[in-house]
This record gives sequence, C-alpha cells and structure tokens, in this order.
Amino acid sequence: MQGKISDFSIPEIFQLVSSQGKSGSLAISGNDRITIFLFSDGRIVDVQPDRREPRSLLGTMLRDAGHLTDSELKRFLDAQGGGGGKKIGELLVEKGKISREVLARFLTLQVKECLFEVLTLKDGEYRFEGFAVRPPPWGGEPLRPDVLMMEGMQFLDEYPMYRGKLPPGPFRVSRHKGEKVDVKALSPEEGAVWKALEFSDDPDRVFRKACLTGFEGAKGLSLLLERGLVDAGTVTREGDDTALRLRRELSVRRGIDAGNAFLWAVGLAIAAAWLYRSLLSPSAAGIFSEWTKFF
Amino acid sequence: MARYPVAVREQALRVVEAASPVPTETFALEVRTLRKRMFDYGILSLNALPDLVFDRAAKEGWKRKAYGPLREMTRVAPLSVPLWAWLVREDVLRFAPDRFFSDVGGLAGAAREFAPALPGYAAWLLMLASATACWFAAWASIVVLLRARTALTADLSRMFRGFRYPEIPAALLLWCGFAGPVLFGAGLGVCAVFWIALSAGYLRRGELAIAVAAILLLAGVFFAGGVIDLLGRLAGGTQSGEWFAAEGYLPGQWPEPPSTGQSSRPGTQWDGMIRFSRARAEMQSGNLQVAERMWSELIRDGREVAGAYNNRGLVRARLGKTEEALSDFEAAVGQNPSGGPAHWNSYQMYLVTFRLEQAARIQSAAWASIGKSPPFDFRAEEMTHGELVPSPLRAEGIREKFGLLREGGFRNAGENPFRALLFRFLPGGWGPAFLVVGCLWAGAGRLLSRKVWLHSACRSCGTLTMVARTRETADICNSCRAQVGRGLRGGEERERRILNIHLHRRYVRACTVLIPGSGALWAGKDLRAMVYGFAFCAPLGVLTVSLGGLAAGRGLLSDMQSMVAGAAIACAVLLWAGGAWWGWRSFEALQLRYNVAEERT
Repeated sequence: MQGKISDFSIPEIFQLVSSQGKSGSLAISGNDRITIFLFSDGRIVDVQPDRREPRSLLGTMLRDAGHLTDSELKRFLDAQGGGGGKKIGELLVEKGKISREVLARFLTLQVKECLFEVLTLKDGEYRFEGFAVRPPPWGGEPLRPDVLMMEGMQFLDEYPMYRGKLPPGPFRVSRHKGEKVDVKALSPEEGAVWKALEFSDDPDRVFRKACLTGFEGAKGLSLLLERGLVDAGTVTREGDDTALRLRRELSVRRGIDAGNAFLWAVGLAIAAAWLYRSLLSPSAAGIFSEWTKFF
Repeated sequence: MARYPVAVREQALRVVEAASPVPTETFALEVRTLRKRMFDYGILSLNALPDLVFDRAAKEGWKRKAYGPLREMTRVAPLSVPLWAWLVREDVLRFAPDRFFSDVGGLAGAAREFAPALPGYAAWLLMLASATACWFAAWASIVVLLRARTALTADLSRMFRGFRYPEIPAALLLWCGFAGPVLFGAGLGVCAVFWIALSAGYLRRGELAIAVAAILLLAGVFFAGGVIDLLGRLAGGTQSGEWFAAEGYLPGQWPEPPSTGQSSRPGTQWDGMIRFSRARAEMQSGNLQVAERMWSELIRDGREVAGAYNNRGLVRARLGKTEEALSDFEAAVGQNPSGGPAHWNSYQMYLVTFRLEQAARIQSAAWASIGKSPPFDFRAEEMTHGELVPSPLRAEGIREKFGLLREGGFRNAGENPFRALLFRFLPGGWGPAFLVVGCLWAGAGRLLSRKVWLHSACRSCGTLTMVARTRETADICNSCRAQVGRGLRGGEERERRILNIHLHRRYVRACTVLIPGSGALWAGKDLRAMVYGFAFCAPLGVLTVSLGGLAAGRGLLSDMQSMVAGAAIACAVLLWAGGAWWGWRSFEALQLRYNVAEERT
C-alpha cells in the first residue's frame, strides 16, 4: 500500500493500519526525511527515525538526558558496528548502562517525537509493507496508534499556544531563585520539568531529562513560567548557549590533554635517550669499567 | 706479562702458542714447565695467561672449544677469578656436575684467597651500587614529577591568568622544566635534583621519602666516585711496578731462582709417614679438632716436628686460634730455619693480625721459602687446606696505599669519574653544594606547601582542589570519599567530572606503562613503590656495569659479561612488565574503591 499524504492523511493511514491489526513497516517520507514505524498486530512497536535527524536518535536522546557521555555514546556506536546487528538500546541494557524501564520510556518518547514530527508534514509519501513483526524483548509495551493520534492532534492544536508563551528563538530557563515548590501540587508535566531544571538550563536537555516530548515540555514549562517559578531568557550570544559552550570546553580540554600527552611522550623519549647516553652508551660503559682492571 | 721474569714470560708465551682446541701432550708439557718456572720465582698464579689463551682462541675461531686448554690453565693461574667463573659457566652449559662442584670450589677459593682481587670486588660493588643508585635517582625523580604534574600545571597556570587557556602555557613551561635540562645536556644529578625540587611541594610523605632517598643516593654516588677513582689509580699502578691489580704483587726485582733441585719432605719411618698422612687427611677433610689432636701427638712424639707444627698452625688458624697458630708457625720456623712453608704462613699471619712491621721483616725469607717449596698441585680452594696461605700482598704497599686512600679519597671526589655523569657543566666542587641546595629547596617547598594555597590532584579521579596543609588529608577529593562515582546530579558538572576521570585514568595508565611502578604511587603504595624501584633498578645497574665489562674488551671477562648483560636485560624486562601490571592493577583497585572505575557506576 502506498500513496501521497495529500491524498490520504497520516491520521487516516495510522487508523487504517491499527483498525485492521496489520503487521509490517510504514515508511513516511517528506521534507527530505524518511521515518519508518514498525507495527505488530496494529500497534506501534518501534520506530526508525531518519539518520539525518540526530536529535531523534535514541543514543542522542539518552546522551542529552545525561544517561551517556559523548565518549560512551561513541564507544557504544562503535561496538554496535561489531555487535552482530544489535540495536543500541539492546546493547545499553546488556551492558547495564541503562535499565529496561528507562529504555522503554525513551523508546516511547522516540515514537511520540517521530509521530508528532510526521504529523506536521503537509506533503510527502507513505508506503506500507506487510510482514510479520515480533516486538523486541527489550522494548516496552506496544503503543496504540489511536491514543498517540489523539495526543498528536492535541499537539498540533496546542503547541503554538504554549510555545508562544516562551521566549522566541533559542532561550535558557532556570528556577526562580529562592522558590520552594511542592511538586505534588504541580501537574505531571510541570513536576517533571521542575525536577529536570536542576540538570541543565537548556530547555531541550531539560525535556530530555524529564523524558517529555517537546510539546509536553513546552506545556509544562509555560505553565511554570505563568506561575512565576522559572525564569526564561533569550540567548543573545553564541557563548550563552551553555550546551554548546560545554561541548566546546570539553573538546578543548581533550585537545589540551592530547597535546600534553604528545609533549610528554616526546619528553620521555628525550629522557630515555638521555638515560641511554648517561648509563648505557659506550662512553658511559667506559666510566663503569674500572673494576675490570683488577681481574 | 711484561713485568714477569724473562724465563717465565717466554715460557708463558710458548704456552699460548702451544694452545689448541684439542689438548696435546706438548701443551701439557709446556704448562708443566711454566709452572716449574713460576715456582722458581715464587709466582703462584699468572692471571693474565688465560685471557691470552682465550683471546687467541677467539681470534682463530675456536673460542667455544677453549674449554680443554683453559682447564689446563688452572695449573698456572689458580688464582684467576675470571678463569674459574668461566669454567663454572661452561660446566653448567655442558651439564658437567662432577666438574661443576670442583670448579665452584676453585672459584670460591680464588675469590677468598686472592687478596688483590678485594679492591676489584670493592670497585665492582661500588660500580654496581653507583649504577643502581643512578638508575634509581632517574626513576624516582621522573616518577615524582609525573605524580605532581597535574597539580603543578594548575599552579603554574595561575601565572597566566590573562590567557584564554592558561593551562597551555603552563603545560609548556613545565615541559620545558622537564626536558630543558636534558636538552641542555645537564648531568643526571642536576636533572634529578631539579625535578625533585619542582615536585616536592606536591608530594605525600612516602613519595617525599623516595625523593630524599634519590638525593642521598646521588650524594653517595658522588663520594663513591672518589673511592673508585683512587682504586682505578691503584690498578693503574701495576704498570709502574707497584703491588695491586690483576696480577697481584709484582716486585721491582725478582729473587734469584734456586740453584738446587726440589727439597723433599723429611721423614724416615713408615709409622711417622702414615700418621702424618692420616693427620693431613683429617685436616683436608675438615675434621679440625681431630687433626689438631693428631698433629699435637706427632709433635709430642717428636716426628716430623717442623711439618707438624706448620700444619697444626694451619688447623688452629682455621679454628680461629690466631695467636696459637702464629706460635706454631714460629715454632716450625725455629725447627727449620732454612725455609719451608712455615715462613710464608707466619708472614701471612702477621699480615692477617696487622703486625705489618714483623711481616715486612720476614718478607724476603717468606718469598724465598716459596721457591724452595715442593711444586704440589695448587688449587686456590685447597690452599687453606694445604700447606700455604697465599696472598701476594706487600705490607708496605698496603700501608702506603691505604694512607693515600684516607687522605685522597674525599679530597679527589670532585675529580671523580662520576662528576661529568652527575654534574656536567658544574665546577668540580659544586656538586655537593648543588645537592644541599636541592635538598633545601625541596624542604622549603614542602614547608611552604603547608602555608601557601596550592593545588592538589585527587589520586583517584584527578579533580583539582586548593589546599594549604599536608597532602595526605586532601589527596582524595570529597566526591571520591563519598563514593558518588559519576553520579553527580548536575549535568554539566557531571560531564566535566566524567571527562576528568577519563583523562586522569588515561594519564596514570600511560605513566605506569612507560615508567613501571609509578601507578602504585597514585594508589598510595609509596614505600612499596620505592622497594620496587630498587628492585627494578638493580638489574639495570648490573646491565650498566656489565656493559662496562664488555667495553673493557678483556677475553674471558667480556665473554662472561655478555651473558650477564643478557640476563640483566631479561630481568629488567620482566620487572618492567611486572611493575606496569602492578601499578595498573593498584590504580584500578583504588578507582574501584572510590567508585570511579569502569566496573561500577
């Protein structure tokens, strides 16, 4: 089954696959991106975002949420290459880096993010191929497309309103100084965002840490802003982007360390040559040969 | 060989010419003739001869077949330590246990009995200790500098606050402090003391003990150099007709060879001969009390009195009854004033008891008695069991040379052979002053670090903190003490900490692989690391000294030193690998304890 989104809308496609309990893959392309959803008995079990959109990749999401460092992510991606085709989530659970519960939460988040992304497409193509799909053992519960569609529709309707309450363009958020908050009195989105605000001032990383979609995060954050619990400011200079600054700082530190390692390796090589000259060379042996005159 | 009597020298050269891979009757005859000529002049051992034979064998390509001719050489060079050592080695390689024990006995005897070799052993020991100390000083100074590097760089970067990345010029400056003296060609002592002084403010007590040990050892090496220089000049004295070095005492004028034939042992009655033989057998088999009683009975019965007195003296000397032994030798001389081994033995006992004037008085008679003694088979190991106490030292020479040693040893320390090695570019007498200044600087740095705020790098994760007290209280950071591992809640701080842990681990691992044992310092095993340092530097010291032996290029000695050098290299490599593994594991264990290792999160 294939066709154009303009002829057959995405909610209708999802509804069709779900109602008929189909298994297989649904590839949706548009805006130079291809996103593939895997269905099992009409429920979404996995998603393969476009590789050109790293924000939606599971490893990047876990890194942004602080579950992995850059170097660990790189190492696991390398290991994935030689790991017999294992997916990164499976590898991370196997190595004990994250729990199954965390993985399931982030897989759900990934599916939601991708679905919300494709819902915004006005033009594009879809293609469904039917085949048996077995839900991965390390994944969470299969997701009902109809429920996700309702959330997606809400996102399409409400996101502009919540985003409008936040500063335009890139911005930073932080807790209002001296505020004491009873988290139980807040909505789930607000509570999650409030807790995650101690992790970073970059809203994207805050949302990742809270395991919320951009829509959920923006909703929680705007409500907190309305309550006067958080401060939000626009990024006016590149240096204000703390995430970028941190990346650069870590990169510089790595560079300085590599330079140091090189310098000291050269220094030790010089010292080794100097020790050879002082204690092992023929001229040094001459100094240490006095004893032979007695035998 | 040039200073030996012409007759001996010419015969020795004939022996060298007659040597061949297969021992011949001609060669054996030449050796016997040489031995007779040697005894005519009281020469007990021609130590240079085995080297000449071996050099010829090496030149003609039958070096590995020289075992036979060199074994024959034991008859004319029984006091040559290298000869016996070479034979022992060949016995092991050829798996000849019967000869092995006999040759070990010969080696032990030569080492024990050949008194001129004592300064040689002393020089070898001093060289070995000096070389080991030099290696240790280099190892210790580099290790402590690498240990202090992180905190030192952080403190140096305070000088470059105007820079965007102050750690870059600080790292370059510290690197120049490390490599600069080396590139400038400064001596080992200068570099080591400079590096230690740089690091002193950042070291724990145990690490400071390593650094101080290195400086003290360098001072020891410097003063040992004066002694070695003196010993070297003594060895060189052989050429000018003095008494030391490989050939022992070479007198300015040799005694006349005896005109008559060999004197035979007196003794007419079979009973006396049998009892004499039995007593001698007991003596040679080590039953000293029984032998002493039998010799006393023979003396009481008036049989073989002179020989019995002499032999009882030998037994008593071995039992430690020095005075009684000396009176027996004197009694033997009284019984047979014309000569015999008792002259020689009493002469030796005078030397042993440092009665140098009495020894000098009977020296000529003692030497003359050697020439008249029967040429029985000399084996150095048997000499204490036989009838001679061999030691060709001259009393006056000992006194003169040791007097020089006392006066000149330290005076000449500034001109010793190690001066250039340790303190190149420093004027002669400045070496000790430099060491003292280095110690004072290190001590001042240490004291200042208790008052001035300096950086301290956490041994476990490498986190830098500012402290102004003893390093021991701050060398593990609070996060590590709390074992939070990487679990800091703040995102950016957590990433910084993780990167810090990663870089620190990589640095320590590189250090422990390149400078073995250094990882143990980060693990807090300071004193064990010092012991390891000594163990690691000992084979390197042996290697340095054996390369010196190889460089000397003397036949047997060079041949054996090549094997020693090989064994030393193998030991050093094993210890290197072991030290690297130990340091690596120790550091990993430390990181596991503080929850910053890979295995726990």
